[in-house]
Order: sequence, then structure tokens, then C-alpha cells
Amino acid sequence: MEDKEHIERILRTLDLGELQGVVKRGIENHKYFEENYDRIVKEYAGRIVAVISEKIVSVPFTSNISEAEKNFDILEREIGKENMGSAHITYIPKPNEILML
Amino acid sequence: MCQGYFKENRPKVDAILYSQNLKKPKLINFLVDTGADITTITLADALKLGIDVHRVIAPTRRMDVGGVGGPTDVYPIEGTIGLTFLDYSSETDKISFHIEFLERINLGPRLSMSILGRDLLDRFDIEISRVSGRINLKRNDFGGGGHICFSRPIR
Repeated sequence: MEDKEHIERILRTLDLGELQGVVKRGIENHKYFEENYDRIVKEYAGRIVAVISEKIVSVPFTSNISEAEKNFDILEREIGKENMGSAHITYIPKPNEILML
Repeated sequence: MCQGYFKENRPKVDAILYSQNLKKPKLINFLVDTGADITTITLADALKLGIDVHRVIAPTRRMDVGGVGGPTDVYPIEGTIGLTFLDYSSETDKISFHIEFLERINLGPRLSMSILGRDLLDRFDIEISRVSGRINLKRNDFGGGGHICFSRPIR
């Protein structure tokens, strides 16, 4: 019952127009990421990159909370808080890096 | 149906995460990991979602999980979370909204990529085609868990 209430509350607050906008901008950012992937790998391998409106910002990968928060503040400042929802943020593996997740 | 893509030979899918506790819906890039038991997000994505990581990453909440790459620590994020997959059909000029509900996801501070695990993937029949470069997740209605699908014309 509690889950049902949670789900109903989420559905009531869902703004489909907002979701659509997030995805539309997200697709544009993803497209730019794809088109420039070779260059991004060369320049940003081993780092986290954020792509927004043809702009790329990168920070080092870290598992340290304080450092991650500082890095996130940098990303947010550089690309704008309002753009964070649709920014394409991803880790760029180093060439031939083996990930076993 | 939810559609994914390949990046560096890795199967990926994008989803918008939404819950009452998250400040705004945010687009998250997931690795489709059929070997992982649980859906887990990275520290960077948790910060993107506005999650209070200091509250979540507490020693008392730590869970050790095993993996082929070695053990790692994860921390549960409770509360019903909606993962929204959107697809566009040029034939109908409509967008489909597919919302899956999970009772919890997890935060893996050491992970470099957020992963969709079997807690969600078991609900789907998954088709991964290297030839076409497509990944299709078709909902199995007997797969359990809550979900809602609907479509709307493009505005």
C-alpha cells in the first residue's frame, strides 16, 4: 500500500513537458558527445566529462566524497545548475581500460 | 519498449530518475549489466541527482558486494524511484513514456559507471544486436515490479 501511495505521489508530481524537455536537450548533448567521441577520448580519458550545448567540462574521477563534491561544484558552476538535468555526464574509460563492474 | 545503444562496445541505456526525494528529474547514462544483481549509481550521478551523499554513505549503511573485479561497497538509497525511458516514433510522431518503479537503488562510490542490474533487467526480455547496433528492452508483464507505459504526441 505504501508503495502504491509513493507511486501515485510520483505520478502526480511528474511534469511530462519537463521530462520531454530534459530528454530533448539530453539527446542533443548525447549527439554532440557521439560526434566528438574520438577527440573526447584523446583529451579526457580517465576523467568524468559533462557535455552541454556543445561545451565540454571535465573533472578527475574520484571515490572520495569531499573531492567528488568539489568536482561537482566545478561542473555545476561551469555548465549551469539549470542545465545539469540534461547534461551528458559520463566517465571516459582510458583506451583499452578493462572495466569489470 | 526501451532502446539502448553501444558506446565502446558497451551496452548503454539512458533513463530519467525521479522520486519525491530527488530535487529534479535528471538524465542518467547506465551500463546494461546483466551480471549485476542490483542497480547502482556512481558518486557523480548521485550528486547530479541532488542526493545527500553524506547521509547515504554512512558506515552503518554499508553493504559489501562481490564482483568479478573484486569486492566493493555500496549504500542503499531507499524510497520509490521512477526510472523513465523515453522513445520517439517518427511513424506516429509520438513520444512513449515507460516508467519503471524500484523500491531502492544503490550508490557505489567506487563505480565509474552507473549500472542497471537484474533487479530491473529481470523485468525485461533483452535483445542485444551487435549487427544493428541496437539494444531493445521489451517489458515482460510477468516480470514483476510496477510500471506504466503511455504515449503522447510531440508538442
